[in-house]
Amino acid sequence: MTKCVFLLLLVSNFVLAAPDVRVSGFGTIGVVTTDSDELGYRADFSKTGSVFKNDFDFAESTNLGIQFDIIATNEIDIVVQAIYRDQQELNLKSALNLAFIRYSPNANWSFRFGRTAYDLFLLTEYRDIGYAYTWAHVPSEIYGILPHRYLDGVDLTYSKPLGDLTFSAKLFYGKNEFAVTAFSSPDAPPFRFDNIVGLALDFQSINWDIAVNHTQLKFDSKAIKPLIAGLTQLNALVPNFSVIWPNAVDFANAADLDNKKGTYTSLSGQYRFNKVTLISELAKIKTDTLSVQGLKSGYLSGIYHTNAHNFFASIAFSQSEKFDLDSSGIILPALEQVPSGMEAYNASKLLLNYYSLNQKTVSIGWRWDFDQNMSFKLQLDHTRIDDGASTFWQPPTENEMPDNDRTGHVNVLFANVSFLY
Amino acid sequence: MLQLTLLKTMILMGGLSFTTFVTSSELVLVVHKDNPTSILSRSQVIDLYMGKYVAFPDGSKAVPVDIEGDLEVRTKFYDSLVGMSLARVNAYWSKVKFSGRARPPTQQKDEKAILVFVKQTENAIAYIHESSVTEDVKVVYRFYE
Repeated sequence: MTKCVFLLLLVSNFVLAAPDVRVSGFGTIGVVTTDSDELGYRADFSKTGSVFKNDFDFAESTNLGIQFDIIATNEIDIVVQAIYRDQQELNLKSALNLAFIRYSPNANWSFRFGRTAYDLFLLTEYRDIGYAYTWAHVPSEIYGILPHRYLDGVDLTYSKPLGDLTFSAKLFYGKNEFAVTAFSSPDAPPFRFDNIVGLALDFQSINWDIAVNHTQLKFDSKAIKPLIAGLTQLNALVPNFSVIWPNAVDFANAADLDNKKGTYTSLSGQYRFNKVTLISELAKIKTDTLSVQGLKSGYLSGIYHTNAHNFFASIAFSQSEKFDLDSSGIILPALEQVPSGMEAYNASKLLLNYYSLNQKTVSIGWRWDFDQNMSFKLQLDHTRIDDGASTFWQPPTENEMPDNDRTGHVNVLFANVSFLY
Repeated sequence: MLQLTLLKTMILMGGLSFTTFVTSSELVLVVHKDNPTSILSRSQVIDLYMGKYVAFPDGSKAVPVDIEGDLEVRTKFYDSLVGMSLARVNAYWSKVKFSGRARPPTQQKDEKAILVFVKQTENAIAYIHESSVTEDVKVVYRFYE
């Protein structure tokens, strides 16, 4: 990606006769606290940190961004954006959020090449721009599980007015990676998505918007290979292993991530009444691997606008598919006698629960636009973690093994100031 | 003496009513006088100013212009157009701009600068008070019609 930035700068030098460079930015300074000793809040699956009772944490919701808009000609412009968001590793690669060149020969067509915002679901493109949305944070039920922010590739957008409607369709292709972690592990290795092909359709009128997003991708990860190799070896070397752990190799192959397909679909809409805005989104994740299990999620939010004040209430849900390893006929007392048997079992349980998100949240909040470029937000979430548990919430101890019975209730309070400059 | 007082009063009233006329004059959308566009609908103006489809009805690209130095006029314009406060309009534009989708309207300091810009830029479109309209520009949208 560093090469890409240099390429963009090189192109801008060739293209620009009289450079028109505009600098602007955004940021959020936020604090989070909760009432739970057991369920540690975090903003999304890339975060190694967690917020427990009596903590006042600034890292989960504070960020700062800067953007350079380089306008070359009427048809060509370049956008470079960097964000500090408490990345585990802060370097050019992780800070660079946008770095693309755009060619728009006319108002209907636009072509971009480079690092663009990942248009996976309704809010994924601007989830870090706190000033852009009314809530203190984007709904965790949909966005917590998707830490990926950008796409390295190309996109083509077609826009056209249809009477009082405006229609736009965007086709994108590329790859990306982002840190993913769970179980309070201090490590957040990159999770790569490859061959991403997506279509985003938008219909907008004066009062309402409807968006449909559909993306297919291949997971690019060798993380499960050692488990496959281990279970294959056990199956070959341990007598009667197929009785102790029926279909162990089939299970391991079904859990493999590498080159497996994932599809991400979202239907969203909003309607603006005079004083009230209603916004809703339903999302579905479907995969060919047990390591990233399917997920259905959604939210509905109502916002009441009165002068500089906006009051909102939301409900959100998320339901992961489950694969119960303990119901697959494994004879645990026998497995305990097999060398490395329990290690393979525990690793399998960890993988199967890595992406669990079963919860419902009710939120109320207030946004006060005390300046045309600054707002104060206060939001209280009450979340119920359902059966199947949620690894979105960090355990108090590092690398704690997943517990499917880890249900409970947690209240999280957010206060932040977001701004534009 | 009485006549002089009456005269002063009349001049003062005349001045006041002129000032009132200028500041309360309705906002209109103007383009370069040679722009082939003769009329725009509200949804077309929204498309232009909210970055949804930044072109005139004939498909040619447009350059929307915002007033930078007069918050009152800007507030009035967006309230009339989309019924949103300036903070909400800025919130909307922050998501469009910082997601890299589109650029917000270009800004000019005041109506005088806007009129100069529109005169020099054939594909510009701007909002000004109707009382400020000159021969160099053409009205393509009125809010009160």
